[in-house]
Amino acid sequence: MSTAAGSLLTYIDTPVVVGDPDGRVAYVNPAFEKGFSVDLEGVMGQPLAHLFDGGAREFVLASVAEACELGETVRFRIRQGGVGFGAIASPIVAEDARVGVALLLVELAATDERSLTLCREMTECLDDLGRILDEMLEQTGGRRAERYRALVEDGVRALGRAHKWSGELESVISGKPASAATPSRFDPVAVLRDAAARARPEFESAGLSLEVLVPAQLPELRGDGGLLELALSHLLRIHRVGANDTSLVTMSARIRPRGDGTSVVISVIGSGAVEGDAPEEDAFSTVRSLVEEIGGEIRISDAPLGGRATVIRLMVA
Amino acid sequence: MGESEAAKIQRLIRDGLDRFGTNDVSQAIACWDEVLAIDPQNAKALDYLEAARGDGETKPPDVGPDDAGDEEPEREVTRLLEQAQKLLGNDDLEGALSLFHAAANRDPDRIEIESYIDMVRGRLVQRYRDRVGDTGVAPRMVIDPSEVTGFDLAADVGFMLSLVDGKTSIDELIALSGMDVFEALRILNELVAAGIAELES
Repeated sequence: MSTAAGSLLTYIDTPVVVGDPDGRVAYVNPAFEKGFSVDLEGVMGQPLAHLFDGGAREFVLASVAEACELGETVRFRIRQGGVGFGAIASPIVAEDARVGVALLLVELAATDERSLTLCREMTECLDDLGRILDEMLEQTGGRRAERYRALVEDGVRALGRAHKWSGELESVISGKPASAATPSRFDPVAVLRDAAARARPEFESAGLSLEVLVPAQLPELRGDGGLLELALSHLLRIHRVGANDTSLVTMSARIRPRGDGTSVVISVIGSGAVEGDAPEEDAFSTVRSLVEEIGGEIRISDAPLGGRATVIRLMVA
Repeated sequence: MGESEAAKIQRLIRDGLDRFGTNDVSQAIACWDEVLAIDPQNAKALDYLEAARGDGETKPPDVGPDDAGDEEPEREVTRLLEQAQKLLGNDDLEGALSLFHAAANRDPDRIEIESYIDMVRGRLVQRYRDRVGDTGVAPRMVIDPSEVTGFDLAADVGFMLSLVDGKTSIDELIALSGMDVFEALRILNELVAAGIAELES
């Protein structure tokens, strides 16, 4: 730590800690000494972990490691000595190219803390609602309950959005970048297999065949996998309801080049409802809106050998 | 033993379709003519040649550089789709699939073509399943390993062949290969049809 930098930090009334590339304390400023009841002489050369208690310690170490590994600033939040802090960990590259870290700790206003608590309370309610809707979804199978099932699924979709925005709100209050808080990529193979596994019992009880043509691996896709699974479940249901006894429904996914990038094409093909025919029109419009919500292209058309073909294209993340 | 007659015919038919799909009509015709030299009554080759040399609607237009306008790719895709539909009508699913692939490569914006490809793949999987029967049986190689090079196998076919040991079942081969069911069954059918592998009873 240079004398000039050290003297500048001396006058900042925000706690600052500098860690060396070995994860040891290289400097703490007077604001830190005062706020955390330590002195520079006593903590110099000690592991950074010694400065913090309990959960805060784990969080600081994980964030420091992330900042050093990625070479990027990491924002997080800790609670130490009954006070909430918004923290920033920034990497410092030493002369020998090894990476140290500077930690800046800004005391959170009581309103921010209260807001975060409210966010978490809301998340718990949303989780409860999710469980209730999942249960209702299970209980509303079959043709007669089709309309109610669609309503429940709309509810699940709306709940998914509420979850997403609640997470974004928590990120904003915590000072995290929104994009980092909402990882928007998913494994399409897992999504297709889950959708097929959910649909298969109903296909089997109706005496229908469901063929799933998916390789063992596909690249991750952009968007929310939960919405895609819901769209595919809708599509499979449309085909099952409209199928005759000998119908074959095929669901497949393949990699295809798209412009300068790569896409994954997902198809569901079989007999079933024709778009525009009530009441399935609503079902198709739900599928469309779900796919468009995750930024995908969708096309529903007549298949050359009869039946309906729905194709969805999503870009690789 | 080198490539069997049946395997050669199968390869030439496929090569011809690939070339037809990329508008290399003269080479496609050459491939199918070669098939007829081996088997003068080969229905597929006769059918494809008729289409390739046929009337103005199905015959690919001979376009010089000055004539190549913006409409040309669209017309080309339309031609391929019409041809593919015709093959579907004749229950030639493999041929139709090849042409649908060619059309999709020409016009990636028409995503409905992708669904046609998947529709044919779905039908072909059923056909392949019918041919192999019990997927619990283990295919085994019936040629000497030193003869493999004489078959001009594609990389994915060679990979699948490397997994065939007479003990591993078709279900296990599908899982081990990491391929989707269609690709795995297509290749296994191809190996059996070419006389390279057989299904143990």
